[in-house]
Amino acid sequence: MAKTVEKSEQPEVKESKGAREARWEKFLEVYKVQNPVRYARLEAAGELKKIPETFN
Amino acid sequence: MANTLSTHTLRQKYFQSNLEVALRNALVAEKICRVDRSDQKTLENPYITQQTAAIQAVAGTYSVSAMTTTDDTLTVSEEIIFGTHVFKFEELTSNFNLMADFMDDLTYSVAFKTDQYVLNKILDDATGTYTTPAGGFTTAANVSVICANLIAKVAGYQSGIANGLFLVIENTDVVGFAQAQVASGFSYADAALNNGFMSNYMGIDIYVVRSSTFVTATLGTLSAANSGHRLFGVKNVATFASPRGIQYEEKGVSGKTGKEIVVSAICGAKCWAPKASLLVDITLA
Repeated sequence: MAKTVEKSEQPEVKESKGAREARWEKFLEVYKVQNPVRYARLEAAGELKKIPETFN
Repeated sequence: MANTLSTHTLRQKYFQSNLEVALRNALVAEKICRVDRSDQKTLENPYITQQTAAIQAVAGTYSVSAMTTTDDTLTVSEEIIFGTHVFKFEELTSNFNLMADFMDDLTYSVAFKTDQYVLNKILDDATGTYTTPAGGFTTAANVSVICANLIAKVAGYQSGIANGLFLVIENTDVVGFAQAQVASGFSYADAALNNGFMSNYMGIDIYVVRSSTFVTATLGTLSAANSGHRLFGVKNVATFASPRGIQYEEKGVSGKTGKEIVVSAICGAKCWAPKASLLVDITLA
């Protein structure tokens, strides 16, 4: 007999990310390859956690 | 009771013969970089890996070691471009020389974007690092501390202080700088009070650009992560290549009266690898 999945057991549907956040993640991927040394330094300093205002 | 007068009943005149332009940012890159305008796609600058000489008691004997050279290349990789069209009827009936005014504005637009690219590129290449005290340049008490630390970063090299130092700040940083200047020394403070912001401080030439010149954004092929950063270094260490500078074309196009105008430039920039420590990436705390 098929198991009935209770609503609370259903997998969570994650909210889709905004377009700007998606662009930011893509930007970080590219930057990590372009300048890995500086990327590591900025990441360690926490500068890459928040999207800066100048990023569009 | 006042009369009702139409617009053209009243006196009017045009203030000037050219179209007014938006505020233009200062251009800095050519003042701090070596500029190459030759027709080259790439500039090759191989460098020698520095060796350490042996020092020993007098013996007359030595061992032979291999030398290493490494390629270093500046590639002209960016194109900055804008096009527009001026129709014949617009040209004929305009109060202004639209072609000339548009060309002038587009030339500035291309020059500014080139300048912004070069500043962000060489900041990305810089391997020197420094984090300011809290408040950065906007706190007057920090300015001399920051400048002293920056000078120390490049002191002691043959290509160091004697070649001329520069610091690129944004206009928001002038707040602390100006206050520090009017409180520094006697004749310097008097000069700052009388003449305003001084463009040299502690032997460093200060260049001010508008806020959001240093950006975290994609500029052509460059992914720049420079928001909240400033640039310090020795002049002419970085090279900025722009073959033939800014070019423009006026062309007739099929199906339209008048002329199409295109203003463009191609450019590349680089801080050569052995000298990259002479440019300092400043992080504002």
